[in-house]
Amino acid sequence: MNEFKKKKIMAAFAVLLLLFLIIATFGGGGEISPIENFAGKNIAVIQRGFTVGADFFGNIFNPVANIWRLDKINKELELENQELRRKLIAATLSQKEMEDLSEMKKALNYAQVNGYDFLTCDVVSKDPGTWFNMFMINKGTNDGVYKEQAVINGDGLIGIVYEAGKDWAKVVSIIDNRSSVSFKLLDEKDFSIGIVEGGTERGLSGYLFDPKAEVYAGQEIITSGLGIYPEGLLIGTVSDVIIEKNELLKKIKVEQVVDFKTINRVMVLLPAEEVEAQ
Amino acid sequence: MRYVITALTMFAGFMLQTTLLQHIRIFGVLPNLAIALVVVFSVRLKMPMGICAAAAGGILQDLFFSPAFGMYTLIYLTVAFSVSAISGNFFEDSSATPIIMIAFATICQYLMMIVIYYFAGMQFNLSAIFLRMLLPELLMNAVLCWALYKIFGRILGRIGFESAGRWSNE
Repeated sequence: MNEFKKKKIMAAFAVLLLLFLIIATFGGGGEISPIENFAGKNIAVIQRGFTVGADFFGNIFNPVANIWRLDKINKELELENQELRRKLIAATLSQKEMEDLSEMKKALNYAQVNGYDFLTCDVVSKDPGTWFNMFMINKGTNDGVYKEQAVINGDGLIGIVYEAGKDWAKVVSIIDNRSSVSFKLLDEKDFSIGIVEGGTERGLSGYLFDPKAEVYAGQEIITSGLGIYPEGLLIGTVSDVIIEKNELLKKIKVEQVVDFKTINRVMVLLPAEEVEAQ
Repeated sequence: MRYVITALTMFAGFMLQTTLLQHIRIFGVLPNLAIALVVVFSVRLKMPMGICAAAAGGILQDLFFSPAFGMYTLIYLTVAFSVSAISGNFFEDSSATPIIMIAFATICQYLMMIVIYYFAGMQFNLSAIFLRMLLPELLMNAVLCWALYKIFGRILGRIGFESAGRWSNE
């Protein structure tokens, strides 16, 4: 057998092996393999150093690079401030009602348990590509982090734990193609539910189950509590409503509240029973 | 030794790509340093080094950021094979060579990703992929690859590579 034929057979074998591996491992297994664990544990330390350095310089240069946007941001903040003042007045008025309801709950012996504890983690590194939206955090199964736990920050829902190693974990963000979140409209009257998904387009897109639901651009959506995400986490704001005559469902486009470019610290929601058991 | 240096270069590239380069994402897109390095190694040093770079970069990316192990390795190996095979038809010192090669490599990568998406049952929008992802990434990759190609050319010239693929001690 000549050299060229040998190389051809080796290449074909490598392609077949890789295809087999792709099919066998697609979707993630929940627990990270020992090789990944070892590599991740050691590389995460170096990556964290790089990230801290990059964030330091990024914090210095980003405001300078975005100086032309400051006027626009200032105007937006002014409008937001006015809106928040109006909401504060409304909230103050309804606070009295809330106090009355709390008293009633106590009287009825109704204990409300939130059910989750927060674990703060640092983002070690982010997805190097454009196709997926994943990042690594520096906490793993040793800290109680497991597959399918929700990940949030102060702004809202970020994503879900995809795989967990002993000291690190992979998180898939809600704008990733593999993400699907059950939501409900944050509205005083209409709590219609639906599904939003990530994808190759910008932001999230989804649909409402009720075709008669009153949805409009600017409306906020939160997790519905159906599925793996706990209820009440802010997802984003409806940016567009698409009504197609031939389809029963009402489609929406959603702009997520979290800026995935700047996240460097996140919180994993740990079920309270597990934390108590630890 | 040369394989170790190639693998270490890919490791350094991976570190930069997942940390520092994240700050230059434009509309969610950032240049692909790994594929740019694979192209540079494949054109400047031909098949064995290109394959080594592709394997190192692919395995690293598969370990940490892939939905399926082997996906990036397969893509980068295909790119390394193809680029090494066709780059012989181009002038190595021409500035157009790295740009044509990276354009070919990026399009090749996107086609393979679309096939994987399709078979994995994931939904995608072809026009969004083309306009929002492929075009900006192609432009960024071209700039990055051109710069890396020139830098590598100078480094290789200084440390004793006679020409592409032919190490002076071989």
